[in-house]
Order: sequence, then C-alpha cells, then structure tokens
Amino acid sequence: MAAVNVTKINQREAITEALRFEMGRDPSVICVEATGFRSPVLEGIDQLFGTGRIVALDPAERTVVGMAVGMALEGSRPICEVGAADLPSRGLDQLAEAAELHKREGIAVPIVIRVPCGPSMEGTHDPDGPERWLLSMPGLSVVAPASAADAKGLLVSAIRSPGPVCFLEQVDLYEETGPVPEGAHEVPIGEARTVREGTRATVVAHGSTVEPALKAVDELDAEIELLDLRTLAPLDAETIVESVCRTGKSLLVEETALFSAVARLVTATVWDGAFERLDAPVRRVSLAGAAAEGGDRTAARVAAVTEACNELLAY
Amino acid sequence: METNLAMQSAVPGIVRDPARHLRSRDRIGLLRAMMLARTTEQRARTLVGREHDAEPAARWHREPIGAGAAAALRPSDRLIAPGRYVAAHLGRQGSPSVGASSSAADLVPVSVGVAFAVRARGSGDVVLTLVDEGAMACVRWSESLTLATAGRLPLVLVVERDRTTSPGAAVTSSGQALLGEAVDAEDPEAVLVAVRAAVDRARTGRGPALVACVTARAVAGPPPWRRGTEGVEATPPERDPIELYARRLVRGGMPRADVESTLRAAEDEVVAWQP
Repeated sequence: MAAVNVTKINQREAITEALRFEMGRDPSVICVEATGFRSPVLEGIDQLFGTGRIVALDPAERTVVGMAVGMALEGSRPICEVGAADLPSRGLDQLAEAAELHKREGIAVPIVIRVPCGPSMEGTHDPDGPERWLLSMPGLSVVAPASAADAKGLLVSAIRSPGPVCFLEQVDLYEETGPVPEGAHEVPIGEARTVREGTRATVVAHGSTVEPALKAVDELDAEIELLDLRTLAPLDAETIVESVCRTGKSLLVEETALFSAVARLVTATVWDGAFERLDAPVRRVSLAGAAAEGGDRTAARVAAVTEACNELLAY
Repeated sequence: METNLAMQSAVPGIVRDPARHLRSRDRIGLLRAMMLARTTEQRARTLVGREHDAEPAARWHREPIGAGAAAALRPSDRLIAPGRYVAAHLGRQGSPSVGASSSAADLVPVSVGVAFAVRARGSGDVVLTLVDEGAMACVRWSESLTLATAGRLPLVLVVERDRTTSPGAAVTSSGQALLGEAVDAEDPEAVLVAVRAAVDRARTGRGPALVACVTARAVAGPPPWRRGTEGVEATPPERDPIELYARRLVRGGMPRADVESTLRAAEDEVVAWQP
C-alpha cells in the first residue's frame, strides 16, 4: 500500500482543504454565500477557482437552502452555511423539503449545509444542539467530525453524496490540530470509528465530546472501548451493537443538558440490538455546565466522564 | 405540447392577438390535459377508497391553470409545481417536472435556485413555478423575488388567486419591480397567452414575471378530514371549466365528435393505467 503523506493542521484548515480539493476535482461544486460575510473557511477560494465558483446571494439568509436545492436540481453541488441557532427560522423547512425530494421522489439533491455549532458560538447558543431538529428528517444525512482528519474526510464524502448532508462544525474544535492525509481522503458516511478498544464497557461519543472521553478512558486505563459516531444519521447501529454485546455496558457522552436526539437514537439501538447482553442500564453523562473552581473547563469535562465511567464499571 | 405560439417571434408585442394563432391541435391539447388531470384525480381517489369525496369541484380551476401554463413552455423549460397542479405535470409529456410532493411556499426559493443555474448555463431556458397565494404571505416569497429581480432571472411565477379574498385588487408584486398580469383562471387559453408573454419576457433577459390566475372558489366548507361521508355538493355543470371549454370549442367550429373523442380518449388512457 502506498504511503500517504500526512500534515498536521487544525480542523478549520482541514475543512478548507477538503473544499479546495473537491472544487478542484469537480467543477460542479460551488459555494453559496447568503449573509454578505465571507466565512474564513472560504478564504482564498475565489483566487484559486474564480468568482464564478462562489455564488453570492445577498440577502438570502432565509432562502439559501431552498436555492441551493434548486441549483442542485440543475446539476451543481452547492455548499452553503447556516448557523445552528439560525436553523429553526432560516432553513429547517427547506432542509425538510430537500430531504423529502430526495427520499420520496428519488431525486438527487447533492447539497451540503455546513452548520457551525457548539457552546462557544457567539450570539444565541442553542444548548440542546441542532441534532434534535435534524435527526427527524428521513433522507437527510448528518455528520459530526471530531478530528481534523475526519473533518476533511467527511466533508469530501458529504460533497460527493447524492443526497442532502448537514455537516456539523463544532466551532470549539476549529483550532484543534491533528494529522490529516494529504490529497484524496474520504471517510464514508454512516461508519463509526473505534478510537480505543476495550472489553469492560463501551463509551459512545461524537463531535466535541470525543476528546474529553478519550482522555478519561486513557487515564482510567481500564479496558474501556471508545466509539466516535462520526455520522449521526444514518447511525452505525451495527458497530454500536457489536461493541455493547461484547462489553455489556454502555455510556453516552453528550454536550446537551437534556436527553438529546442522539442519546435517544443510541439508547434505542442498544435496547433493540443488545438488551440481552447488557450487564447495566444504558448510562448517559452530560458535559453541559461542567466547570471547576479556577475555571479549567477541560479538566472538569474529563472528570465528569471519569466519574461516570467509574460508576458504570462498579455497577 | 409545443403550441403554435412557440413558432412566433420571441419578441412579445408583435403578435397582437396571440390566441388567434392557436391551432386546433393546440386547443385539443389543452382540453386533453385538463381531462387527464380530472380523470387522474378521480382514479386516485377511487384507488384509495375516497371515491365519494365530492370536494374536488373546488379544485377544478387548477386544471385550466395547469394546462395553460404548461402549454406555454418549451420541452427544455423547467416546471416546478406542487402536485395539486396535476394538469401541468401531465401536460409536460415527458419533460421533467419537480415538486409533486412539495408545498408551494417551499418551492419558491427552489425555483429561484434553478433559475440561477439555468441562467448561468446560458441555455435560454425558463423556469415556471405554480403557487397559490398562500405562498406569497411569507418572507421566503419577498426574499426570493428580490433576488430574482436583481438577477433578472428567467423565472415566471403563476399565482392562483381567489377573487373573493381580494375583490378588484390589482395584482401586487410584493413591492418588487415585477411585470404582473391578471387573467381568468378558468380560461385555459387566457392562461396560456398570459404565461407565454411572461415566458417570452423572462427568456429575453428582461427578468422575472408574474401571472395571477384569478378564480372564485366554487365551494366553501371544511376540509375532507373534518367531514363525514356526506361530502360537499359539487359545482353546477355550467361552472365546470372542462365543460365550458368543450362547449366553446364546438361553438368555435370544432367538430363535436373531435371534442368528445378527445375527452373519451383521455379518460380511457387514465383508466387503462394499472398501479
């Protein structure tokens, strides 16, 4: 197997690299802007590919998704951006329309909606996450990369997908660096990643919860398996069930305070596929509000996962 | 269906009375599309066990709207319309149409997106979308029209408007500089001529246009899921647009046998279809 060159870049750079690679490979890929403000991820795109590859619709904040659907119907592969807090008023209905067209009429609707989200977003932050809106739309794929490599690979897959894909960008992870393969790098949609193998329990995380979960299980060094979902819809049920059947215990790590749509999906999947192999109820730990005296948020998040793991192992 | 109007110059205004240039074949095509739509809806209701639902008379005006609008298009033009405009979808005879399972309001920004792409391609095609006036009452409508007007997109919007909700009101264009015309929704030829003028305008790069098809809804009453099995009284025959148009064709000199055979053939075609 040929060696793959790897560079160490942050997630924002990985997303930009994916965009540039796909725009260079496929002339139908276009970026659609609707707010009048150029996203940092698109910096340099017009110098590389010309202004025709960035369609500026201003103002079109409330209709950008619908217009992207129209462009996709004509053979383009548009990529647009809608902030998580703006989704309910500025794109949810049109996303549902895109998913309907794809699912019900069998029409290819190759659009990618980048959704910047996360606790550190400026303005109104939705503490319950955009997943609760997005996971109820048959026909819509939702991906949530945790690493820079997965950000590049999943965005490439999203752009190449025949149906609509929401790409959840955790703004807290923009500056997180990691090794990213150069050139062609694709991560299939619908496949979870086993970050760490184990036998005593399965920890399921996604997006910004993967890092604190990994630190926690590394510190515990207690044969705990860690799964990074990577794709929230369609969920990789097979990997989750196989893992929990082996370990007998599962813990979900979430950012949201309330029981999220992801938690409901994973829990139902475990109950449905692994109930008879469970040695403990499905547990959940929320990292919302995890804080410590002195303000080391990272340590507090790791501590929350560590505590939950210990409780689960002791059950 | 390619009407004779397609053979006319692309510059509107030269043809003073466009309806005179319709051939018998064009008129038969309009009647056929309307009858196909009517029979398709009746057959669909039978297949799902709702053959006693008498509400459809309130929707008959969509048949001339759909038939007339679709007839104004070239085969390569785009039609984006909700499924309720069955005559428009069926009248395209193999050309692609989108939106059969969508709501009208959702399709307006989609139409603008398609128009953007069509214009970028430089093919000279036009995008036509059919909506009801409910689609005009949201931000998506005004934002979409703002962009379509600014970009001089090749887009035609055909809006179904109820005369009783806005008596005597001129066609508005949401504050945008949009050419608008109002026609009788129950006259397929009037719809065809008005839409064709709008399509010509859009095709020649002069920007989007709007056509309002004005109708008085025949029946008021609760929606089907609130009714019992008694249904609602149908529209009297003299308001049936198919009946009206068929009589008009005969009065205009078309052989009655041709008209009746067209209606029968359309009915037979739908009945013969098996799921």
